[in-house]
Amino acid sequence: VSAGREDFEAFVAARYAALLRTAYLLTGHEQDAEDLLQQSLVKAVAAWKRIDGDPEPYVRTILVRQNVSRWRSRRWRELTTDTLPEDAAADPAIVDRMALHRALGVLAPRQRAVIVLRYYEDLTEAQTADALGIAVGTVKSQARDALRRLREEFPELADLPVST
Amino acid sequence: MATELHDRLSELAGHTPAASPPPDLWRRGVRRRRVTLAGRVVMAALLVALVGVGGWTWHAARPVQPADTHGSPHLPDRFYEPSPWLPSFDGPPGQLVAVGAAPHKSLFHTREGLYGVTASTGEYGFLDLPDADPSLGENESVAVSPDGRYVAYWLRVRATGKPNGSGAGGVGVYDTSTGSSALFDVTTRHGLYAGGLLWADATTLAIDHGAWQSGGHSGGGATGAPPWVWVMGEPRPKAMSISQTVWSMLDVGSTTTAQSGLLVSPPVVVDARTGRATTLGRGPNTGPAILSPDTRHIVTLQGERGNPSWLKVFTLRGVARGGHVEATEPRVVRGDRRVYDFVGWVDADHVAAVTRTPGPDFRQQVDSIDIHSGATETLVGPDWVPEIARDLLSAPSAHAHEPPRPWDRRDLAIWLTIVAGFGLLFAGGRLWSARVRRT
Repeated sequence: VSAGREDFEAFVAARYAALLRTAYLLTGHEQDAEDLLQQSLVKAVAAWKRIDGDPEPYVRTILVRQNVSRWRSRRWRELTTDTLPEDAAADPAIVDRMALHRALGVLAPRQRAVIVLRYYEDLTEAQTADALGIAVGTVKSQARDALRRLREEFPELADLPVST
Repeated sequence: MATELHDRLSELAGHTPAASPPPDLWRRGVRRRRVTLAGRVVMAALLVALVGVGGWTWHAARPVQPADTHGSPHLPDRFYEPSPWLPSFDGPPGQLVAVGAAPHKSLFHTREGLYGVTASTGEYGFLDLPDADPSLGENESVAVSPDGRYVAYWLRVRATGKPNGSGAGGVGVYDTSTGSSALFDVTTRHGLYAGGLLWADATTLAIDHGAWQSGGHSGGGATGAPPWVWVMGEPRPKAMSISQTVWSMLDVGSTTTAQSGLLVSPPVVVDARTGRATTLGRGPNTGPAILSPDTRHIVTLQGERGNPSWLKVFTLRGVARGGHVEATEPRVVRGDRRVYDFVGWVDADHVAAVTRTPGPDFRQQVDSIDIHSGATETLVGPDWVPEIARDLLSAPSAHAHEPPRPWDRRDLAIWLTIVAGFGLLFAGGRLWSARVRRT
């Protein structure tokens, strides 16, 4: 077993669950999240020996970019729905969670990625821009538009930050 | 407030079902890397092949210069049929050693074109001759002057009525040293009959012509007229001053040859400029004949023209500059191959003639034949024999290089279309990608 492989498998064992959570926020679907994460990790193998330092930012970059690519290739054959399959009438906490889940679902993948990286992963604007391969100004505008849209679509999220 | 959103997102993410990573991620990654690498290698190979083909095509389209001849005129040891995709000369080609007609193709059509071979470099190129109609002419549609400077050709028909399918509109003379053309336009009812073009000397052109009596493609008759004589430097040709009898013997279009300003059509020899005629007594009285540069011998073919034959050599007892000249009984001279036609003279004792090898797959070439002994040497090898500037038959021989064979431009267009198609697809993909990024 090569050193590269050992490092990779150690990294996967340590960070798989956390990365899966990020993938879930990006995709909104459990199965899609797993597929996305596994594709991203497989892709990361090709450059694993060249990665200098912490590999997580590199894997995260693949993750968010791969998600945008997947969305492009799948948007023609997927139908979106406004109704959730779950019955969310009971617990207010569940209602809140479902509302956020649904709110994220109406965002474009890049806007969604900006929200996840900035407010879940707590990356700076520059790190977010770097991960997505876009300008910092674009990160700002995408975040602003995404937050406004979340507030408009779902009033129960009106207490979201106005700007970044 | 950002903290609240972080908490909400964390809570949502916290409900992600736990899952274990599959054990084969590394192996899948390695396999993917190999497939990607193989794909890149294939693409690179295709790119290299495409560049190679393009480079080869570009290289093949470049004119190939023959062996260094130090800029002096020479006679190539053979000629080639030019590629129909060969380009035209960029400018005046300079002295030509040969001219001919051959198909000339462009992207959308094929037509007859006139090409030349330069005397100093052996380069081939089509000639952009103004208003030319290379399909005309009873025998040759183009005539190069003995020194290779001028090219005479027929002009496209000009008719007040329905033009004859074989009608011409006059004669043009292209100066290879300046690139200019002198045009003699003639408008008739149905077009001119294009009988023949023959250079009597370096600056005197004899033009056999007539006038078609009907239009269309059915042929019909043409009225004749004494040949025109066009001396270079004069604005237009003049009718040759000859009697009806002499005119009836001159067939500029086929059997007549020329030497030192004299048109030779046994039993007469006519000075092209003055019209002065010499009759030949006891000499040849029919068929093609050629007068030696020293005007001492007339050589004809034994038998009919077109039926390969040996040489018959007559010796003249005087100078063919008017009056009557007797000739001796002919000597039959047998060379190595049967003679089909005359081209000119290498020197006073060696005639250049088109010969053919016997057998069903005859091959024609130009030989130098000693008119005394019949000793034969190959001047121009088989098989392609254009019209050669006859003064250059005595020029030093040089090894000929095959002219370039440019790629068929239609194939090139198809490739360019494919490449452009891929380019558009790529550009479209980029635009689509950019549009998606903006959403």
